[in-house]
Amino acid sequence: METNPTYNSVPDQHQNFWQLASIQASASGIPVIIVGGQVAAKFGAGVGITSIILGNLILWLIGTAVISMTASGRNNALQNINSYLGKLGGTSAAIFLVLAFLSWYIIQINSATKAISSLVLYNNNSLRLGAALGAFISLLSIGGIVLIKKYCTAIFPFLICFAAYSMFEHATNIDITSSWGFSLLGIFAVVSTNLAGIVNLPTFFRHSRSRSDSYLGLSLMIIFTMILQAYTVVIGFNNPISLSSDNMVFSVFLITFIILSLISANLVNIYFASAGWEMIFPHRKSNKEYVIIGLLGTLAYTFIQLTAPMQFFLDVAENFIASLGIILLLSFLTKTFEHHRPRPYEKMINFSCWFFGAIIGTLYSAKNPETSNTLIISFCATTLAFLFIIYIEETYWSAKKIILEHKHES
Amino acid sequence: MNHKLADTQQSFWQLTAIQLSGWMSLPILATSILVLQQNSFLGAALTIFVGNAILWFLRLGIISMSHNKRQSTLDLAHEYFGKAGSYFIASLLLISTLVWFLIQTTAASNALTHLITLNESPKIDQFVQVCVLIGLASTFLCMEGIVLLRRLSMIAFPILLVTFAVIFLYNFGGSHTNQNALSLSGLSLVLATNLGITADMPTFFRHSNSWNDSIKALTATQVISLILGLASLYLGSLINGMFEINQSLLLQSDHEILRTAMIIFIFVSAVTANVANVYSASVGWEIIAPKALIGRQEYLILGLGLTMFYILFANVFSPDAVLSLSDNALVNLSLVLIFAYVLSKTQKHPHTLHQKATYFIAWATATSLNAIQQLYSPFPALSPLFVTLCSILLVLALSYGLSRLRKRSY
Repeated sequence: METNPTYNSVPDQHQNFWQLASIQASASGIPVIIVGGQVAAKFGAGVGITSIILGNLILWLIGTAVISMTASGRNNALQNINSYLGKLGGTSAAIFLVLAFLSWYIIQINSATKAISSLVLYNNNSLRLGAALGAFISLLSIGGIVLIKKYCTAIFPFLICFAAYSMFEHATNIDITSSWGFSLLGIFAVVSTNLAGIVNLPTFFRHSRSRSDSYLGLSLMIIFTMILQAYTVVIGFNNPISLSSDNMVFSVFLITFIILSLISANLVNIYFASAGWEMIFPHRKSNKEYVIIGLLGTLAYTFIQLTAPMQFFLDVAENFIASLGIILLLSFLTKTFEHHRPRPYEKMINFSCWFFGAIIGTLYSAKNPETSNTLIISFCATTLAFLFIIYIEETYWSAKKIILEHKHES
Repeated sequence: MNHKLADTQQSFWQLTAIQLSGWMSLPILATSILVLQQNSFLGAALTIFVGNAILWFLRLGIISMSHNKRQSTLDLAHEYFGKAGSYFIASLLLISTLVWFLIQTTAASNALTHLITLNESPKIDQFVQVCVLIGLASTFLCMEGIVLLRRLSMIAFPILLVTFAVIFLYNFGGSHTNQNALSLSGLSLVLATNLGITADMPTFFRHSNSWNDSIKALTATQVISLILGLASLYLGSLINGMFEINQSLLLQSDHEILRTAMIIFIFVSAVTANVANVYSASVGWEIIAPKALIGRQEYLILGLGLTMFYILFANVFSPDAVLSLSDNALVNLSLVLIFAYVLSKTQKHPHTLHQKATYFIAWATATSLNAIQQLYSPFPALSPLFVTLCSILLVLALSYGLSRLRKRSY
């Protein structure tokens, strides 16, 4: 594995497991936690709970692999991708990451402002509120990773306590037993919502104090995310605009919860995207880059919103990033057991399989705009392409070796 | 207070470009039209000419005060008003910047919202979109302080001149005659509007390459602003009141070139004025803000803070009263500094505590009287500038008399 040449320039290398977990869990934001409520609304609460558990376990497995890849070099996500997919792969991933960042930034602000507007019944100024929040988050991002750590560690206890409190206080009469079961679509929904975040984990986990802190941090993060997602199942929250409460105090706390969670989510999004910036402009690294990224996100929120063509474009970016997660996992696993033969075209093969899978998914999505199976198609296409090439490689290498040995003996 | 001043080699042309592109905004150009409303055309031209001659003289005094030590406005306030006084002036600079940012950008956003037609859902508030665009463009460009402001002005100034020329040519034939008598009425308006800016000049002129450059820049600034002021007399049909574009005229107009010129002029002038405002306020920020928020990032913090405030409150309330008071306070500051400078020439020792207190009291008294006059209008016939002059001279005379009495008693 290539080592990050700026190993020592990575700031704040002493984050413990609690800080790592707090950052990731508090940055879940409404779109990630609401997926529990959405799966439950579609398949029933029981399926919602099992999907949350299984989906998050899959994410944990991918996360463990991604963290293992980068633990020794303190590489960020794109340096990691560079080392597995080559420079072209790294640059392409940087572009998709920045595009996906814009979509996450917009989605986070949109869902938060919609939720706040539905709570206070004040729809006229949601654009103004969203833009001001976007500018405020950009301003905060100037503090870099140190501020993100302090902020998330400080607010996380509030988020989890509020979620726990309102779970007991506002639990709807959900029936888990009658809807108990498994749903592949439900599991994929949970996985796909957070997969891009998991692929990008190295950007944050390079600040970890030790390998053990990283793994424990990841495990805690997964547990906390499960709790937050289960919270939306229990209170029956599946749409930002469906929020309402007659209790004034509860509404104030809920709005605080939404705003705090939005700020942490978008601070983390900006820091994720900064890896893309560093890849594109390697000599322009400073805290100002975070502000510029944040301001671009705010501009995108204000002007682009989520119109249909833009939504498709952003779905493509997310599709590419999700496929990237699978190819990284597969290539890491292959690397761990493939020691018996050289693989000279490894990076090119990884890159080709990634692109192949993502393009198949994109074509499928273009033909079936209403479908929710795009990611499954992408995953399958990427995995099949990769396995097929490995099969050919392995067979060719073994056959060639046997022939050579025979020749040598004769 | 003069710590590591950057970019101290500005030529006269660069200084001129910064001053003029920072000023050439709607409210400043509207001054000529307001003068014309209470004067004949010839009288208005004469008033503008006399006003500019007086301004040149006063500005020469202010610049010569600060030239040797490359002092900013706040350094001067510290020298003449003492440490406590400088805190008041720092607050004044910040408040004034905030209000100007709000008013100038709101005026520009309102005008641009009518000039630019975006094909969007009618639910989207285009005014907010334009607000965000101007605010964030200003923030992007204020990041590097005076260096970027210089570069921006060098590009913006020719653009502003060309677009102004186009606007002028399209409106040259418009009616500008009236039945008012020839007089110098409106002179106080010219002085009051421009003296507020005068107080800020040391902050910009401390970057001058030499005294010669400063004099040339001041003269060029005054001559060009005189020409612009005279040309603005022809824009009466285009500009309503202080801050508004005559939208009906523009909507009726089928001149695409005029429309384009207006859009470019308004956008560029609003952005450059905001960037100059932020730089001017930064000297106040350095006094008031905690140390952690001072340094290379202060422009960014200020710019984003102002943008956020502006996005939230643009068109929500009218800050005209605060603008008027802060402008009066800045005019008072200019006058007190000039009087203090003239008095200091008669003595060889540095300013005593008594003198500093006197200057500060003179400024505070004049500003308080302006506030009372604004709130209760006890003497509606008296102009604020007249009240200011009388009160400052009275306080200085009283202080001088007291000190003479004290000396005699010793």
